[in-house]
Amino acid sequence: MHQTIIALLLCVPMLAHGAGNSQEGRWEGQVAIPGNEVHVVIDLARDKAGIWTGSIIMPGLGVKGVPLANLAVNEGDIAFDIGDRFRSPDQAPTAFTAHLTAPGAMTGEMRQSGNVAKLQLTKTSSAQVESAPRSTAVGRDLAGRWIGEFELGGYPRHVTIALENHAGAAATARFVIVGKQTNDIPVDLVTEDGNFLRVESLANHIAFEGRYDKASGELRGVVDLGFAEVPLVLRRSGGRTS
Amino acid sequence: MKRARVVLALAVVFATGVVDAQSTFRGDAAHAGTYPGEGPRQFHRVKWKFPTGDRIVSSPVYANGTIYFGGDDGNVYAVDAADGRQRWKRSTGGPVAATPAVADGVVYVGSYDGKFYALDARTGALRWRIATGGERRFEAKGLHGMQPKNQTIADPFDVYLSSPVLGGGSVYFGSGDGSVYAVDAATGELKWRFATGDVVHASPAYADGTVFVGSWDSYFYAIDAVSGKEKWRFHGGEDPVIHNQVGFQSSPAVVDGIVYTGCRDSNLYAIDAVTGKERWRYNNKGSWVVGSPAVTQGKVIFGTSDSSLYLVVDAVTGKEIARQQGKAYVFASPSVAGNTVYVGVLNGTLEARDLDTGNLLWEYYTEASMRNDGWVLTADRRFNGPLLFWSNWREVPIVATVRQFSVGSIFSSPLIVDGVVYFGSTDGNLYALE
Repeated sequence: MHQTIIALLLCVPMLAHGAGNSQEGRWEGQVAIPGNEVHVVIDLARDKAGIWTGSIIMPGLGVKGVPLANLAVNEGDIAFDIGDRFRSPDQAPTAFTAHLTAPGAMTGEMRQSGNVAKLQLTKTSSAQVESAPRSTAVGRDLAGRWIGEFELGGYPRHVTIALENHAGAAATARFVIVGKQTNDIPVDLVTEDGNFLRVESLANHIAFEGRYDKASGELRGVVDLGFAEVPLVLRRSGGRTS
Repeated sequence: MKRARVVLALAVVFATGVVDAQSTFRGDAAHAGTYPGEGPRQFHRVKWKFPTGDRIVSSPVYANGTIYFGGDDGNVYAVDAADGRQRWKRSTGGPVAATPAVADGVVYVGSYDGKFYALDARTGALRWRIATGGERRFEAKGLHGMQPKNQTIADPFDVYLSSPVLGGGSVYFGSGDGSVYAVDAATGELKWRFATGDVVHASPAYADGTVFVGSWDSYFYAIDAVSGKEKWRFHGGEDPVIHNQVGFQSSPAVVDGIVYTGCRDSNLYAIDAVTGKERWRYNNKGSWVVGSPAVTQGKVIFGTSDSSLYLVVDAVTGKEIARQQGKAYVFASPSVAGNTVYVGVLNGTLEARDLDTGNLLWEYYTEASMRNDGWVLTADRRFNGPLLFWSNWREVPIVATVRQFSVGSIFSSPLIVDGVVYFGSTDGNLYALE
């Protein structure tokens, strides 16, 4: 009896610790959108610093490993949004809330464009949180200011991409397209992958991707506007920034 | 010491052979659809499943402990074969409805963005990329009897992209631009481009310095792998009215000097690989043969669409050996390991059948198939015609395919490695069964 009590007492801290991590894991379930029930997979875990992190998969909707934004995990509750995925103009981001109803079970809601649908989740396994893509440094040949021009709809568009390396960190870029108006496009991602440079605005679905040609000193590629892909050659303008 | 070297050499040869037989669509360059070792004769459990963002019609391949496949969510995936955890993913600009080929640490695959990619097998980093003339689906006016008959309509059943095959330092693949490409596998430099008359979404087979592939222009081609010159062409059926019974969507298998290929004209053909002369044909009375036939032990194994048959015929004579009535259309190619055949069905079932008799050993229903949203399936798992094919606008082939895909259809050809069966489903999962 004495041994049983000691064993139970020893278990109490473990149970308490388990409760603190009760939201950690892979959660699978359904969002009950009328006439179109959507399967959802949500991964939740703490990183090395103990901060909650997560990603979401929605098969059939093209969502795979999208990072959870504004993630809040409290006593039995979770809340997050998925940034600009499925975000209508002038609407809040698509958001999820859920709370634990039993060990390994959560219920809640998904909100998108003013609509609300029930969410049911069951914990199925350990978390497989996907890391968001990260920018890289770029080669010395690429750092600096590049300019070029393409035509769309009969109008010329002037493009400037300025690439800057930062000591011990990834490169950043300024991406400006000037047509009838000036578009200073927010850049989320700058990557040099193989021989390819990619400068991308995820929210705007606009990207430049090209390959540096040493012989001509040109960056030859395409500007991807989401609805169209147009060839674009960039040439160096001014000095290098690093 | 000498003996040790021989053993080592044999081990290397054997190991290389095993890898080669699993790292390309249909196993190897000849596309026989046979895999080393045994697969499960009984179903025990789902080892793991890997969810993606959209349907999977690509087939998985294996190299060095990793499963590679494409997703219609636009990504190429590398997944740990042991635990199903993602090693990397690489985004492309469109659905990756082709099966990758892996060789010498490089993954080769095409995407609906009209580009062909070479990626580092360990990291997913881009080695090179080339643009084709652009992707498109097979299309025609009045296709399958759809209205309005004067409007060109893309074929919703043209679900696959051409999967690459490697041979002699080149990578070969077809394109929606109507061409077959030969590209230097190391550099991405174009070696030659062979133009056909329509979409090439079948996957070329490579054997004895020849590239074999069919086109939607109704011809099947043998092309010299080095020069890109035509060796011979074989004419399949035509259907100038509704374009339903035309085109080589099936990928060929080349075994013992014979090319075996299905065709939308409802025939399975056996063609002499050297001369291009027909050896025999097996007619399926209007049912397409979309999948690539598996060829082993003197038998040719394939499935049919509308008649939903599982068929085994003699490889030399074309005479029927076994016939089993299935429950739904078969687009996927059957895969053989040991004495067991694995085949995916569009009702979301993976079937395991005995090689000799075709008898069903076990079956597994995908998650979406179990849900059966909208009662797309009958209670006994056949397609539920009255609900599936309902359309006042005679857009049946379009609306019905969307409905069909909702039940986790299996277009993917199974891969068998170390007793585990891997395949993709339109419910977005890659499954590993044992």
